[in-house]
Amino acid sequence: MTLLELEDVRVDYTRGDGSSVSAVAGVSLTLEAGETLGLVGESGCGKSTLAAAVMGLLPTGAVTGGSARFDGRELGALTAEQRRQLRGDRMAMIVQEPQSALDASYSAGSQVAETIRAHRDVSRAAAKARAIELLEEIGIPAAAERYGDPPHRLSGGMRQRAVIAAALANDPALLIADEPTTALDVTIQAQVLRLLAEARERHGMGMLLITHDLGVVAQVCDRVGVLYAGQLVELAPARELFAAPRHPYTRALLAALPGPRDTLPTLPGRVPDLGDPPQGCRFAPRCPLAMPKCSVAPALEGTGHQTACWAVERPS
Amino acid sequence: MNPRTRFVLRRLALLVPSLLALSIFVFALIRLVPGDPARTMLGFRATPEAVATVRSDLRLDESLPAQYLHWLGGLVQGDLGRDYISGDSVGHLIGQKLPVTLELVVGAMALAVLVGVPLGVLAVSGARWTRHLTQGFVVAGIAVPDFWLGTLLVLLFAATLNWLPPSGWVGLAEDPVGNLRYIALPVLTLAIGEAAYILRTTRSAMLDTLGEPYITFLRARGVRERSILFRHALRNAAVPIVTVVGIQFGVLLGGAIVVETIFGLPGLGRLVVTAINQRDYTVVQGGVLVIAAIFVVVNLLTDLAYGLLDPRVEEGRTGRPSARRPSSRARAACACTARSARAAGSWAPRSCSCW
Amino acid sequence: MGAAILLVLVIVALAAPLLAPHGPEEIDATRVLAGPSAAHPFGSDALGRDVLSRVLFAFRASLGVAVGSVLLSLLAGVPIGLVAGFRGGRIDGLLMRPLDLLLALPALLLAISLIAILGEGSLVVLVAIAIIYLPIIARVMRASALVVRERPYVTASRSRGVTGRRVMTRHVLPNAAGPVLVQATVLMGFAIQVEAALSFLGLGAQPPTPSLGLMLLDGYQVLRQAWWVDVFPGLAIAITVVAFMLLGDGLRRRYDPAGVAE
Repeated sequence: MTLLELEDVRVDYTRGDGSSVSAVAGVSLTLEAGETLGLVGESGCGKSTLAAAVMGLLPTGAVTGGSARFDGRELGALTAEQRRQLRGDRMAMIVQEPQSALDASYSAGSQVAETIRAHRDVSRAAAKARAIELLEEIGIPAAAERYGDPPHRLSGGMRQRAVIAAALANDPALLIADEPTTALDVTIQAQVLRLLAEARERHGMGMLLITHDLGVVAQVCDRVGVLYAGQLVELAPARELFAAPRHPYTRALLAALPGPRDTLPTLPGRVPDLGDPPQGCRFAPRCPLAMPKCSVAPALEGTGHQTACWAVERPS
Repeated sequence: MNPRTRFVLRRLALLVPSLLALSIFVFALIRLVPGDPARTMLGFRATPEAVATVRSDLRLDESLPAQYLHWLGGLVQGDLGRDYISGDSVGHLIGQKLPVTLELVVGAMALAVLVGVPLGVLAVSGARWTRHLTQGFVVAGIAVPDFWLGTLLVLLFAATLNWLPPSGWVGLAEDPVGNLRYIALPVLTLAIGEAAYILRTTRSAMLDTLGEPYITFLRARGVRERSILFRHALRNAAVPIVTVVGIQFGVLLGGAIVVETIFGLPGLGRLVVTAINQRDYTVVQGGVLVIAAIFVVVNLLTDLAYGLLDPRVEEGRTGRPSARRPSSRARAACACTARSARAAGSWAPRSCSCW
Repeated sequence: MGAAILLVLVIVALAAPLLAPHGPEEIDATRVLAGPSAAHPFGSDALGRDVLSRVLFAFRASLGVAVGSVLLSLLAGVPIGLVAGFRGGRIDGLLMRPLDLLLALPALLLAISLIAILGEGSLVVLVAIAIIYLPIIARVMRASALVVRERPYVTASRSRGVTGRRVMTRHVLPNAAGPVLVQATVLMGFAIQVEAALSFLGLGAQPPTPSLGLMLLDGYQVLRQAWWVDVFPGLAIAITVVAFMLLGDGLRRRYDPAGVAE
């Protein structure tokens, strides 16, 4: 069964002044167990919002639409308590700032145990024992002694591992990693990616990797989705996306990657204001291939390599 | 020696210079009175012999530093001088009145915390109407002068309903029930205003804490909301709350002065005010010193609690939080003094007399 | 919103002599301790004086002391804080350490100590409150100056060789003044409370100088018979503090978004 199935998911926020912002506008995708799907886009394109929507962590005042099915269950139909039970148990998320993801007032080890006890009815001792196991698994040496260390006494790399251990404590089926490498040095980035890949192997998880770093995507992901202003414009196997991008935005994005060139190509215009987004395809105002037809949003079409663009030729 | 012990010792060591500076200040205060203190103190009792006695007792003919050292010497031995109007020793007088004031102030602060903190948490996590209600309570509690509130409470409970006495006192040891009856209104008067501040601080600190990344991560791991609220958010919010409690203690001590007057409590505050009116300088000196010393000690305790609560404080130098600085809003809980002072590493204990 | 209320209050205060239906000392012997009525909307006190008029005049006096004290505090505190924050180092320590000492005493206690030396009276209260608030103002100014000092335009003008003094007054001060303004506004509200408390204790305004605190004292003495003598002055204080708080909040949004002041 498909692990995660998103169909026409929409998320609207209400701002302080009452106006509404359309953060995610009709995203559809699927994720299978054991697969890594990368979600790329610029800041503000809605990728983190999408992650929060799947996890059920949207702030109050956010309105969702469309269907999101996890393990066959419709997430929107669940109560808040049911969703809480899923979080940390069947679906996990690693937040953007792993350095500050742990509460400094408690030991790192106990926070791993905390995840366990939030979902399993086990004794404190049993949870602690399991937590120590998990810490060792993830590569923290002498885990039993370091169990009681508060986060600030661990090195950056150790802290990362503890965070991952805490997130994966209950062997989830889905892991959403929201910009896991953004705040990190390049050297530690590689470590973390390796950790995540290992964890994925070990647990057989499906992973949704959210990032704006195309390099990371190329290394780790099986498939990639490209988001622009809340719309999913292209979805393809990673290799194909990089080799032969189809959507004008994706092509511009890849063309803008630094490389041996005289000038860096840029796109004219700016990302639209999501409080008042353009009708139809949101990239149209900046798109070199824009047509009158683009005022109606194109659907994501194709098999294997999907694109949402009227101008792209589809094999019928 | 582990860093925590070192922190405690270092903080304790600062106590001595603080108290010393305080004593110089108080001493200077009284010596600045124009005219002959001896004559002014004695008033109509100023016979030449009496004046001479006072002058020699206080060494008024010697140089100021000598006078100070003499006074300080007496202090260290526990001798605060003599009250020339009543003939009693100042130390004895203060010893009688101090417990009353302490009972009042500690009781008021305890009640304020017991009410203010839960309400503050409620203000953050509860339904919308609780938020508005607590907001209103905060504004009212801060704006209403506490002694006026005292008179209103007397009007309600003593004059109209006749449940509680409007004034008077009996010691706790003598008659616990009676004592509680007499102290109920005074404590309530101070506690209500104080609870408003604590509520506000709790709410603001909680809001700050709840915005931190680790809270999101906790939610992402499916930890129960109540656990997040109390085990994590409140625990981390405790630091600014404790800081404000320490600072507000000073305010309470001030408020106690007025409240004691209204309710006729035989406390230290009332002693000092009466002494000022009667120009009884030795009593004023002793009283002010003791009250201020209490405040210094409370600040010390607050600092120590701060060190205990935030495990990173001990890692840094002289009370300087090493890792994450309190966010701007938590800092603003009393930005005027406490935080900026701590960040600057200054040694003197803090009070925030903004209110 | 707070500004609106405050404006009304200020006008009321200034226009007290015109608005008051009676003189504050005017005695109406027929109406001693009378409840609120058409002739005396706030009632009358033990001497037959109109409470409304007395409240108006006392409000004017108390407000004057409160505002005056904070202004005085600003006069001294802003330069100290500015120099301390801008120059830093030893000068900073030299200037701020004595002020820290002032903070070691609870505010009211310090005030009454000062009164013990200088005697009672509204003027002394004004000075005493100014002294209590001096360290706070200086601290806020200093904190704000520290922040502004690092701004690019300051560095730019210093590197152009503009003298320290000029940089301070022309660049740092205007930009760092925001939080201090907010703080001062809030303090004015509290200053009224302090003035009232001191007068209540008999250490502040001496009759016949009017003060809301004195009225509260009178009111307390006739509490059982005439609640209005106590309630209205207190209400006046509370409303004023709220007005200042609201004004402060409003100013804060504009001038101190970072929350340097409180």
